[in-house]
Amino acid sequence: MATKKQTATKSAGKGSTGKGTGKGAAKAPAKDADTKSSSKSAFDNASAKKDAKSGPASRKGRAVQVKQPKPWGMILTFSGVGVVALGLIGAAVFVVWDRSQPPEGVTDFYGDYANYSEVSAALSDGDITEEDLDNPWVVQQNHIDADEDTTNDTPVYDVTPPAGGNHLGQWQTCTGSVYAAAILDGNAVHSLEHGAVWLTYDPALVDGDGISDLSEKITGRDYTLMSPYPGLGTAVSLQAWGVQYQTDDLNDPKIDEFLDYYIQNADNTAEANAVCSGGVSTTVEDAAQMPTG
Amino acid sequence: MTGLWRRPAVLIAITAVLMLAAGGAVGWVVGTSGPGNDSVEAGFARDMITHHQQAVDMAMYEWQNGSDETMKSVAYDIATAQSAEMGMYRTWLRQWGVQLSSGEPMAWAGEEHAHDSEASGLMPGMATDDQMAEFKTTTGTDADVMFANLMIDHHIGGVDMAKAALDLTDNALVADAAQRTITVQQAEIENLEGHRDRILSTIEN
Repeated sequence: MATKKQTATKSAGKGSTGKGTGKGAAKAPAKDADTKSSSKSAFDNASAKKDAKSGPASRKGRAVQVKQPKPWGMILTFSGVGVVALGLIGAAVFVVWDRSQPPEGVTDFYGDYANYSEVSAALSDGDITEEDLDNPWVVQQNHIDADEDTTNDTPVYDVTPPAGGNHLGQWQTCTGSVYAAAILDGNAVHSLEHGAVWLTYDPALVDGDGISDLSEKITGRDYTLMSPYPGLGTAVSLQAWGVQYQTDDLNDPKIDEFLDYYIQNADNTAEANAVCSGGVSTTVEDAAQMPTG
Repeated sequence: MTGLWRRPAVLIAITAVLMLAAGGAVGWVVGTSGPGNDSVEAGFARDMITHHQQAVDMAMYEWQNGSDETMKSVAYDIATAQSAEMGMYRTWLRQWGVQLSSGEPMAWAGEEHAHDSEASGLMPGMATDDQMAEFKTTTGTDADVMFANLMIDHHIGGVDMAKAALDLTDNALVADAAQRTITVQQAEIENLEGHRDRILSTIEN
């Protein structure tokens, strides 16, 4: 009993809340079940703790606790509110995260970075230099024909078909343009810089029906272009700046997903607001016939 | 832990913090999202970009190859103003976190309009590839007149699209832009007709 008394005094001395409710309960015992139980519970809890430490006396503490059933109503109410609140937070995080996810299976050349915007931000912040990148060409956007020397005007690319890098000064018109013959890499890469998606196919692997199915996806859809790519090795390869997706299945739903996601993608456009009209329609053959300086 | 259930003040505080966080999270989602990918608003913005794109293309050609100074000024006005509007529409789409491009033009405007565009593969008022190719062989007064004719049709289609959007949207931003398009393009149709007739009568005399 001495232990209990001591604890009671201690608990009452701890805070004015305990003291106040205790007083109220004593004055009007039947006034409010809640007030009573809360004041008592504070008391019991403190004593239970103390008892657990002091060993044999703990039996007394337990006996008192049995008389106090757990406040299930309160537990359920607060748990419920807590679960709903956490659920809402979780859902919000998911929704915002999911909004910005690219389609699965796309090869991206940005290394540790998610997209063009992140790489260029890291570069301009001075966190990294071009040499730190796995594929420095994702941030190389010069016109290789912008000098007097015309002997080095054919860009060389690490990836086939190219998905970015230095390019020619003129872009390939990409207003949903379907080219029947191969086009210059350097012009097409400039179109990618403008936010276009370039669909290439291997003419040895895709027949006439296949070509017309593919061209239906492209014709008239601004910021797209399509051309054969002899020697490609896979039926279809889609390129946007810094990303690529290849498939042998002409009905692969990822083709449409890639188009939907990457055309003019906000985070992946190397030159925002540039247009697809006003470019060239030059094919590889045209270029070969042009007189060279 | 059991002690927690016996301290309403602490419980209420924790719950209040959780509920505030949940409210904040919901606000975050709502605040960072706008009309959805398949909404009228997103569809209208996307299609206006494509539609404007062709108008800019026509106007740039007229600016370079036409001969009537006033018609060239009209072209200059259309090319610059519509380019700026395209940037505005793109900004909307990016802020809403939706696609900048869709494989189904005019689907947002309902059956009737979608059907129109399916038949020709083009949005209302847009010039066909053949018409564009023909236009780009013209120069001087021929270019002035053909530019006016193509642009009048183009604007009539643009006004139709804007009216459809105005009927279907509750979004103030979009309704405002649609209304502006209707007002500006209707006025421009009259101006284009007037200048075209003036140029034609000069040729005849």
